[in-house]
Amino acid sequence: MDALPAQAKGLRYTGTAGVIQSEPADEFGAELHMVAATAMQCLSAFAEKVAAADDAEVARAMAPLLMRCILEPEPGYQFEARHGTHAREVAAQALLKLCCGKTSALVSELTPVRADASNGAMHSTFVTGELSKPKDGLRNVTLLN
Amino acid sequence: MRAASYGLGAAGQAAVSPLLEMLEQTEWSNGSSAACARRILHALGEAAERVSLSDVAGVAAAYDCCCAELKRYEATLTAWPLHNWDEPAEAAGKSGDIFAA
Repeated sequence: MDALPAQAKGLRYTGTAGVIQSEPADEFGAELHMVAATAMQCLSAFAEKVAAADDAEVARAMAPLLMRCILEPEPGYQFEARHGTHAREVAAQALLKLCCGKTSALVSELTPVRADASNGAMHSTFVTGELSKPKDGLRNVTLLN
Repeated sequence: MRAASYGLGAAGQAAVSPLLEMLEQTEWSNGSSAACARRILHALGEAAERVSLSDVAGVAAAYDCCCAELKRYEATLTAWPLHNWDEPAEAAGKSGDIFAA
């Protein structure tokens, strides 16, 4: 560690680019993180069926939970655990399914949803309209109906 | 547990109510109960054919319990629960001045 430049050393501690992905060493903590990710996987499976059935009411009920997973601070050490990152990714996929299926009429209600995880693996902004150029380190995704 | 999860997941809509009931009864007290909840959630996603508001509410309640338990879990820790910190001082949480050269 002493041989690392100060900036690299700081990055390692602050959990940004280049940091080692970490997770709890005990079974309980690891399982809890996996439960959070699996809950989002469950909602992602739901999203496929909800979008196919054009069930806007259920889609509206799902969206806040998905957004919460993406946007809210991680409880415990979830942020640093790879399953915590996975939960956010799956939640974002579920939102996309709702936006791209028959429930795409809800796109305007689901935007802007910005996943602002700071490890670089999950920088996504869901926007409607024309494809915009990347700015401020965020990648904009255009959803086409 | 994994086999039961896949079996219930393939059972279709009829399995949804029992799965939600089992999920509601999760104790969230140890790794085994959390593992059960994970398997139930996996099966629930597969089994549901007609997703209802109560299905979503059941998953939301489980997610809330999981997040609350994670906060309690964090509070019980006396050091970083990480297995890949390679320095004893880091494992003890003594990071010091992280930006010092």
